[in-house]
Amino acid sequence: MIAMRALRARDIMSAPVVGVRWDASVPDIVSTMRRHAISGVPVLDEFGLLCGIVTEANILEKEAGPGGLTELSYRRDGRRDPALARQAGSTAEEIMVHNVVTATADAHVRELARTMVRCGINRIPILDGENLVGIVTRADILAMFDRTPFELLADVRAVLSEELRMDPDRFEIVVVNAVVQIRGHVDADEDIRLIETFVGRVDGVSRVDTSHLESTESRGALR
Amino acid sequence: MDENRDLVSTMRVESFCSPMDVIATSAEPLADAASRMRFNDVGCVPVIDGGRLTGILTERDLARAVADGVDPRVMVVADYMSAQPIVVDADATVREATRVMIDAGIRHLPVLEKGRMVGIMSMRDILAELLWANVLPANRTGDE
Repeated sequence: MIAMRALRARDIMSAPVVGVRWDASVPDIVSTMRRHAISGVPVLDEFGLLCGIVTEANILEKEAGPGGLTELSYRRDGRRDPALARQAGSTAEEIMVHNVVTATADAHVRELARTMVRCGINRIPILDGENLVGIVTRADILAMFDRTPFELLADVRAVLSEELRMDPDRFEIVVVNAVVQIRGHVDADEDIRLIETFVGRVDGVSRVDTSHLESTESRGALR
Repeated sequence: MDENRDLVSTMRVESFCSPMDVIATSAEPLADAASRMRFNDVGCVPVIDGGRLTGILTERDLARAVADGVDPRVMVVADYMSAQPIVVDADATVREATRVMIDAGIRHLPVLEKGRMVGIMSMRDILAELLWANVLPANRTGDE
């Protein structure tokens, strides 16, 4: 049973997405990135579908070429370097990176973070079929770090009712500094372990304190 | 246009790096530094201990922490920062700083003068300057 009240792409993604047309000029792209304070934009084809991504680094790579800001070291064997090819262009289509890593809105945030680290990328466009419906950036991932106690509490209650079939109102739930303390009574010792496991998986929860959670089973054994 | 570009590329980085108002210390919890970055809307903070630059913490490092699934209230900045970050001297030119960033695959560069950090420069700063100086190629024929 895959039961995790974990954050997914749809919870944190930016939508609608700021994008540029495939024929946008470099100054237009830079202006767009500045206006929205972003370091990269998806490139859309004539049908509005995702065809690439342009980043600050792509543009500066171009500027770093001959006649640009710096001299670029050419490969000695004379083979075509993708970076050099990109630098020859001056529209989005010509400087963009074509192989874009995408995900669906269902993707877990932690999985997206892993992909970013593994691929060394900053942003992952979110697709629904072929349609671009959102984008998750590293900055969005930071949302994982400061979820409010109210958000955590709502998620903990949802886990109890939806995944463990327990009425959350049976318990007193306190969230302090990402530690969730659950007070009350359950029937079996197993229930305490289930609560610890499932509530512990809620994103943003660092520890589940069940020291004030009593089970009828244990109490009976002590008698 | 080429004159403008030369003007920008030979500028000293010191003259247009941004001052750093937001910093972190290596012993504070990762969650605190991350919240400060989010609140101030910055993609990276220098890590300063005892007045000295000991590292840099970027969104990239924080993504790594999320990927690892660690508790950001238990982990401290030192666990995930990039220690001994690549830096640039205040006397370097924009051209040199750009080269360093591209080669290292980084977007931010702490600027040091006589070993003391005086600011940080970013790819965003450089592109803003190039846009302002009107040297970015508008189309293929207008290029070079």
